[in-house]
Amino acid sequence: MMKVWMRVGGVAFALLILSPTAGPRAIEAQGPAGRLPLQPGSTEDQIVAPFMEGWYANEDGTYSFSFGYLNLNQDVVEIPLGENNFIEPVEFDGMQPTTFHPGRNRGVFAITIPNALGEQDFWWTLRHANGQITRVPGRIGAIAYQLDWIPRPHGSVPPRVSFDADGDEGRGPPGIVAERTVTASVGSPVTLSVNARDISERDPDDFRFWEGIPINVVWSKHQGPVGGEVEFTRHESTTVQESDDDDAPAPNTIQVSEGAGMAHVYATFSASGEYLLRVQADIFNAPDSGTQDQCCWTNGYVRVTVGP
Amino acid sequence: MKLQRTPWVGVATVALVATFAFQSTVHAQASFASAGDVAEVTYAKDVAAIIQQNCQVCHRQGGIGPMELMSYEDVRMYAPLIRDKVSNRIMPPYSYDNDIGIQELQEDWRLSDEDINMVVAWVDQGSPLGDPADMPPPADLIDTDGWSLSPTLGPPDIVIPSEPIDVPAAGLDMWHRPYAPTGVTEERCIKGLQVKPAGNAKGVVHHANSTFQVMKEDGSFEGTGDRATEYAMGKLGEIIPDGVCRFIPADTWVRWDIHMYPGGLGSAAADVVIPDNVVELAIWLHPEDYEYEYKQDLVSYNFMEGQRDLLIPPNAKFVTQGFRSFDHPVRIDSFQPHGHLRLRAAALEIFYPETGQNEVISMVSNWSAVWHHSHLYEPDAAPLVPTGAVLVFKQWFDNTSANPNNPDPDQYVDYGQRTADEMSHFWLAVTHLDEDGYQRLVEEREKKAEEAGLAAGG
Repeated sequence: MMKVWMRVGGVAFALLILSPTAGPRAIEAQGPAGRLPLQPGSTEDQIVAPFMEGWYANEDGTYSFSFGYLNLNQDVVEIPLGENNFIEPVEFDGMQPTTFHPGRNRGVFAITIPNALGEQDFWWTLRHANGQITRVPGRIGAIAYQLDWIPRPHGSVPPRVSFDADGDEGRGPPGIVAERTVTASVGSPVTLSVNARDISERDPDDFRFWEGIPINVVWSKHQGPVGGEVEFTRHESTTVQESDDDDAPAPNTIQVSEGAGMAHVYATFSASGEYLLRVQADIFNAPDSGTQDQCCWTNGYVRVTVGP
Repeated sequence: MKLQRTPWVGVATVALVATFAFQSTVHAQASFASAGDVAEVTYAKDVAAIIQQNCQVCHRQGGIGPMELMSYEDVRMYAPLIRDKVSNRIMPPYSYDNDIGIQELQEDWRLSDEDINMVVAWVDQGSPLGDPADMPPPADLIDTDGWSLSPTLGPPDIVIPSEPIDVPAAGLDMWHRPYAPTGVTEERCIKGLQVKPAGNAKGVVHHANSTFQVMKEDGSFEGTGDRATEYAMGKLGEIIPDGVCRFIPADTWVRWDIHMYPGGLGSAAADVVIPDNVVELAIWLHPEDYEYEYKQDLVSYNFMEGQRDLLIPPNAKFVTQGFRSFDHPVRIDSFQPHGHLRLRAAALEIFYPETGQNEVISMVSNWSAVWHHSHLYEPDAAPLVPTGAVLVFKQWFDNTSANPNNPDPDQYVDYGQRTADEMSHFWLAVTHLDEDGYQRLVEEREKKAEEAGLAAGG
């Protein structure tokens, strides 16, 4: 039989064309000042593009917007809350990240609005060091952006997350904020714990569920002082399967098997200040769940006050 | 310009007539005759046959068209709308440019200029019935739930259903990935494939991809398998050319990957709960002793690996361009752009590095997410690509309010599986040749062209 090798061409590129637009013009569409249409972009000082992932019509009549972002830089970008990172109206400002990790990060926070404000836009605006402004509205109405709480075709729903054994549980991007603020000192590891459980109902005859779907728990810095780094290290309760180093999960990632359990991690802070850490519990190993699917994960947030 | 009018059976498809509501008016690609240019035109004598052959498969009771066009009275009622849609080439819904690239297509739904002129003149002349004795006999339409390729290929040899699932009336896109056995016990060659959602789910099944996988003894499956076929909303199916083989392995199952968009797109959108939706894959097989020389496959060619860097800013337009080449000659048997709500146009080109020439093969300048046509080249016209030539994939996206399909021009859009997100790739059915086979096909075509020239007195 003949060989059927395909060679993949070496280059591909995307070309941004500036457009005449109707309605409110977004500054971000214009590109950096002075850049020609065909001029390659710099690998540095790239934008962070905010995303409205979609909107939920909640059972209690409120609406929630799920927001994420794409950081085009190869490094973390920090934009403190304030004039360069804000949500309007101002009463909904405050939960957005100030630490932007590289790449696409979906549904990292949400805001919930009363039913009466359903006709209003809720803009998240970022102003970058290079002068560019990127912004998107949280906006209800477009069916294409509707999110929901309906179980996925193979039963998946967002895992439930809590910080206290008998406390409230969060679900989905709106998630839950821990009631207790953790205190820590610079350079001293502090233990962080979260409870996650998968309540998805699945077909026991489907081979894909015979060994259960693990819950992936991932910690990250969401807000905090500029330059304040958080180092996550593995807790002794975390078991990691033997594998090549390249395949080993990062220390900020814990896998909860058998559908429910606690996940612990150590966090060490490089600078004092007020931090908001985000923990994402997902079931992306399920066949009907994934980051691009906008289901199924839940955010949890822990406030940490770090002293010298 | 050569336009191939296909027999009506070729138009008998899963057609969604959603573009009546979904698409904007586009620029007409040609100027068509007005009343004064054509002699007296009547429905019975001149127009009824055009409507029968090109419209009634969808515009009938139980069809997916938003209105019936079965009688003179039906058609007369909508005559101005029909004139507008036909003259702008919005109907029949087959967006493929008439004035550039390869025009010899199988299952081509486009009307000829002559037919368009006829419809336009008839409407401009007041839409007269004429002599009822001139009416053609009623069209022999296939069942609305039948297989559109059956008139061409006969009844399918295998029909593989997915598992039933309820589709909500609205909400987040869903991905259903069940397994189903094929029942095929020996490796065979495929002649044709068609995927068909349930009747009222045609507007909510965005795509339904199928992959062949072999089950292991423990009930799990080996590897990732080979692509059976791809379906996206509005797609007719695939016909594999003679002399090549698309394999279905022995003892395989189909792994479905069904993307549903609750509520749906276009006028065929359900907007209600659809209970027990089942998507079916029909396969037509060649005989067991079928002889072939080359292998064909269907592969998605992305503009970039992982389609990363597909980021469309708010209120902006965007172009992607991807490249592929092969270390052996190939024949492109079909071309199908894929994208979502911001994709507006697509083109397939070939760049010849040795000469520096660039050739446009196919162009779709009014693309619609409701109609993912796989443009099947006629065997004698399918592009032959020499070793090293570069396929160039271009797609144009419009994230402005000028795009009527755009759900929100103020949002950033990047690569993603949801209908609200975007994709940039082409599905190509490719026959993988060797140098001898390539040369032979080239010589055969040259000989045919020479004979045609002689026959024409050239």
